[in-house]
Amino acid sequence: MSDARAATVPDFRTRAARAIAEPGLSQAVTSATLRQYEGRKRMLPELGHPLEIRDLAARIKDHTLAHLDRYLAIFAENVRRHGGQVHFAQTPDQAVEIIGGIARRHQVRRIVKAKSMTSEEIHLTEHLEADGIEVVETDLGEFIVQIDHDRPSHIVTPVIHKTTGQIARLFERVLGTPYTEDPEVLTAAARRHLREKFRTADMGICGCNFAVAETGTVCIVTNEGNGRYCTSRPKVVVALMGMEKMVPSMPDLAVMLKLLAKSSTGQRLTVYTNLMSGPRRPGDLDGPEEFHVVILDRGRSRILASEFRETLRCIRCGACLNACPVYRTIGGHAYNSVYPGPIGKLITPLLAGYDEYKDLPNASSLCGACFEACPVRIDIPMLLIRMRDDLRRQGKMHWFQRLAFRIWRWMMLSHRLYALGGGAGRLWDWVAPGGWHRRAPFPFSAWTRHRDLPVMARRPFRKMWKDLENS
Amino acid sequence: MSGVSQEEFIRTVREAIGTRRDVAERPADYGVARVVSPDGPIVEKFCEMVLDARMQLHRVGGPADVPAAVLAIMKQHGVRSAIVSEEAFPGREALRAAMEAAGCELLDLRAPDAPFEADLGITAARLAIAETGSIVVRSGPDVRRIGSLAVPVHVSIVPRERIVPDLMDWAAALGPDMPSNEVLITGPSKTSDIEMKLVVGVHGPRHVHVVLVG
Repeated sequence: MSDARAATVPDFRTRAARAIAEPGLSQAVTSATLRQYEGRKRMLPELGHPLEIRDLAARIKDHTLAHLDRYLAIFAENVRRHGGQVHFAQTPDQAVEIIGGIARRHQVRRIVKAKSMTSEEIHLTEHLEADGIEVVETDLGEFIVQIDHDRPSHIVTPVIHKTTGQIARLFERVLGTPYTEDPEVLTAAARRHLREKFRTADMGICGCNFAVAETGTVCIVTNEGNGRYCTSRPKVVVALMGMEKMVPSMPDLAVMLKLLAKSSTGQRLTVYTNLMSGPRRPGDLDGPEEFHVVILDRGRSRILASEFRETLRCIRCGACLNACPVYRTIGGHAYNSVYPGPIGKLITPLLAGYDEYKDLPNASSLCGACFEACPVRIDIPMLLIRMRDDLRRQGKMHWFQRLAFRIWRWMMLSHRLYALGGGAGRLWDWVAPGGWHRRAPFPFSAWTRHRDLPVMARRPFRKMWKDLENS
Repeated sequence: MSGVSQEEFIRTVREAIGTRRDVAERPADYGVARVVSPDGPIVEKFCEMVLDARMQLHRVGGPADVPAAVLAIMKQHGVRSAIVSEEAFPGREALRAAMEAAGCELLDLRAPDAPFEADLGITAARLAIAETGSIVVRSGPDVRRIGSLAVPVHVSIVPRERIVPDLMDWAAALGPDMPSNEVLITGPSKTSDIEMKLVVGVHGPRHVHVVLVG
């Protein structure tokens, strides 16, 4: 999201309310995410030691991040040894310039692109299109997003928010496919359309799921096979990666692969696990003549230096999105971010700055389902609390909240005020139908606007304790 | 070309890491990651996982039986043209002869668009992985990258002795001498992007046949 556009965007509360009001959205997202969530639950126990392997994966990532400077250098050296070229970009502008430069140098007219969330971060497609290049998204979901001028709403399944009917109407309008709600026919139409693009593109762009330092290998996984096309047929291939995608060696990659698809879609392994090490070699029958890797920082070194380093372990599986009751209810667009859901609440403000996204860390009930689902054990609820505290320290909290918590603290620290508050609460409990307060007077209405407040225990714990001591 | 130098980029990273380097030792033991033991029935496991990944399995006794199995697959899909990759696998020459005798046109593997035109593509697995039912295809001077991708039907010849138990075994054997491309194939090309409904054959093959030899 560009700054200018973000400035006109309503706050999270409004966006969430609109999403909830959107007919069918919450049901569509809930049923899709539940399916993937159930798939994950079914598949994970297949790993003989499902908890221990997640700890192992977390340790691999922590180790890699703590020595990222070294592994980046090893990786770059090995890519070059295979004949590939490595570029370093600290900002989105630099990354766009590098990739645009490669396209210009080869007079590229058509680019086929595999799914890459990092490319969404830097608005790569828009920039290349502004240069007059045709950029074709080839993942079916991303293709639908592109021809509808929409945005992805899930990092793994981008059109989770769309119904078959909506897609059918879109295909009728854009591709001329007769209206049908048969996903087979719709998919076949996209296949025909994209097959010709694959055959004739001059350049391919892909992301990177993992980069293996010791072998100089870029690994991408796709179910459709579009990632393989984009990196096999065109003469020039560019892989764009966030610098945290690194793992040291192939056994580390294997550990990550074991976890990724199971956590993501409940598959044992993604259909195509594609390992690329440089361009085609002399004598090879096909493959790109030039292979470029663009490594992006964009705030990641700031995260590395911060108390939020462990968010860089994230392998973008989407398990936390699928597990999250908030995400299931409001879908991805309400987050107004490339990365929605629990992990998005952390990395979006970290990557793009607190100012635009200071309400995201508060969009959580801290239920912990995300932490439970995370294959690399990122303690998302704890980090959200830490980020809220960080926001407070930086003075980015609403004055009303600050005042409320100051009064709260004052009451909690005084025995007499605490008892007085409890007494007042118990009086108020006389008018709580069914044991819940559904609407409270100002200023407590700030709480009951979004959740009910239970009545207090009949007798305070202090008194019960005293009785116990006396008996 | 713009961007920053490797030195500058890495210096920023080094400063960001600061003194927090000893947070996690590189793990020494990856034992907890292993799912399939080498001592178990790995061929049976592989077969089970191939079927679970929606591939079709054909078990044949030896190289001499490969042509009959492939001819049956050709009949099943009405195949009239094919590409056969050039890496060595048992029974390759006999297979080619049998396919031609059955009236199948064998397209030139080197013609750029041959994989887009053929009805069938045949490759041999460099390795196969019992844990996931994956077949490992390595491209190079004998194997087209898209020879197992652009064709509607892909046949993979898997000699039994190439099956390894676990992804960890596949990974352990890979080192600095990686080829330009290696791919693990675990099922037909598929998507669930439209309302989570499974569709196969989205960009790659709709049918993947594993011919297990031996």
